[in-house]
Amino acid sequence: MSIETFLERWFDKKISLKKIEHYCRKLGMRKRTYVNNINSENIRVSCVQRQIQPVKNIEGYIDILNDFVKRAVEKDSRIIVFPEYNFFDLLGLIPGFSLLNRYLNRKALRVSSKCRESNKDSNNPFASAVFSGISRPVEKGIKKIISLLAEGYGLYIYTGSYLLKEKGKIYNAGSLFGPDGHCIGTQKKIHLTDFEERIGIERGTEMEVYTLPFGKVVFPICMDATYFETFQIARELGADLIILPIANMEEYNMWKALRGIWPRVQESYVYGLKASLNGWIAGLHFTGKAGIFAPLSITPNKDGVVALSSHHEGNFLITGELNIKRLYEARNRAEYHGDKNPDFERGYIEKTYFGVRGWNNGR
Amino acid sequence: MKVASIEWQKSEWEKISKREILIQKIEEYLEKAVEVQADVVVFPGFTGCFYQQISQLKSGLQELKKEIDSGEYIEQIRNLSMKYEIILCPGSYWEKDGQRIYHTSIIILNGKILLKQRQIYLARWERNLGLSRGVVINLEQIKGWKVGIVMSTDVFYPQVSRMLALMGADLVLSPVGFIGERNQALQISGMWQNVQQNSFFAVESGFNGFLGGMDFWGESMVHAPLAMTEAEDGWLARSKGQQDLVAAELDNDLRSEAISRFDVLSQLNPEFYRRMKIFGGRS
Repeated sequence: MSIETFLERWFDKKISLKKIEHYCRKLGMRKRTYVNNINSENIRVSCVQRQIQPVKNIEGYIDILNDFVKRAVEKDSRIIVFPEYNFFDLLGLIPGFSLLNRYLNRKALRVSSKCRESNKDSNNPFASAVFSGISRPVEKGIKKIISLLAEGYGLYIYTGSYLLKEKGKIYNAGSLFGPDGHCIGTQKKIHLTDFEERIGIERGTEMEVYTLPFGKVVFPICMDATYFETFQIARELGADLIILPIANMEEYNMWKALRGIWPRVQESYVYGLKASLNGWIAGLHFTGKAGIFAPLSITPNKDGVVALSSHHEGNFLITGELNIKRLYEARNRAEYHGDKNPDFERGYIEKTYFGVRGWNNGR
Repeated sequence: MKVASIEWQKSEWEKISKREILIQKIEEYLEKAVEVQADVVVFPGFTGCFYQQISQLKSGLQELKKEIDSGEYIEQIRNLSMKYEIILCPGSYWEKDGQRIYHTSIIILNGKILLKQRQIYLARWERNLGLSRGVVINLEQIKGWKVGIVMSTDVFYPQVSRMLALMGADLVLSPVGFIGERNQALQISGMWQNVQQNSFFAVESGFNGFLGGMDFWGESMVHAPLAMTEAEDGWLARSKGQQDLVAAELDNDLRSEAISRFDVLSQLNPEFYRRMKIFGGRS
């Protein structure tokens, strides 16, 4: 039996939907009754920053997620956003994983961060097999848990990202669930890291916008925010809010962090909700702050930050208030935003990405 | 290649009451750039506009539109350029073409204009002024480097820098000047992030003067991909409002090495942009 097959069967057993339902019923969730009565001038949102914590059973994992959701509800948040690779804790279900994990993490700690950076570029067929094997049961499990929590507490929950297996291909994807427990939509990651490409993850080629009672939302993933194109398309689709789960496999540096959602929010005039995963797993180190971002002019310090975690490692729940009306006003008043140049933009794709002097011929 | 960027504080601009004084000042700083052995020097955005408007700095820009002539400024710059062996970007100026007025910049060497770039996008105040938009982005091979210009307002429209990057730009010259409250975060959201998104070098030169009753601001900086800057902050040099000339050595081999560690353009997804019809006019 291949590793892949073994893991799929093992995880199916460990992440049974019955177990999930049974455990969630015991959480004592209290549903809010005013979920459809949301004032778009005062929307509270929460973003999770959390440390990877390998679990021994699915109940332990539900507890981790439930704690964050409960805190978000206590803060009167309408949405809670979980980070990219929100399932890493479930790798703890692999037999013998904790020993292997400790060994790999210690080994990685002994080498310099530069060396670790180059290690992440190596091919890893074992990681590919693991990811492929656990993808289906993990996807089913996470969706079930999030659906029950969303319905149980009556708020919108973004799952964080998980691995989606579709027609034999693996994608990094995330889903948004509504207060009725239904899946509103799923979005695949569109721009991959070199590491993801090496382990065989495929790229998405579509993006959907979803209409919530207080604004339109899209939810690309991590690297997607490195590219202005993602946010330009989001704006063309009518997005007001962009949910972005991240898991940065690098040592933290504020300037590195500034290459992502912050400049995208400034150039596209949307709200940006960033959730972040951090910590060590299998010798890989993740860092990053959760934050809520907006155009400079509508933030208290004119720095584009509504709320930001105080540290790039550890567990935090970041909560802030959004005001869609103010966002629209800011768009209408913006000095350096909103101009159009149809003559320049006509044929932009062909000229830029497929042009004679362009990327596809020149690289 | 060594590059230099000029920055004059408002108090310096206030001392410039005649065109000859501005030309003398430009020459003085050309000499300084040559002294530090710069191959390229960039002057602040709107330097040429200031020259064109010097006799009516306090009157509205609408007045100026009636009699704009960029020929004199270009001629003065051409003459200076023949005296100094340096690639010169003399800021930007108003260019009249028939009934249209553009915000334009050039690169000039030994009296010869190597590249002319019209601003592609307009700020609100520029739209109110009735300026026209350029439609073409130009790139020129100069001394073995592919060089382009991204001016002022265009730094906030990342599609401009992206196109230049995919044309193969190594170096972008960026004469800028911003209106409104001075806010470093705004400037970082411009050229700094374009450099990180595209992995080229950029030389930004900020205008801290005034035009048509408006005050401008901007810091002068030399940008590079994070991985090749000492503090991993994306700057090879910055004035921080404290220096009138900043200079830095650009090493294209080091840039290639930095790109090999983080090749941001390699993960573009043109198929996605095509399917989603980016700039397809849906909004």
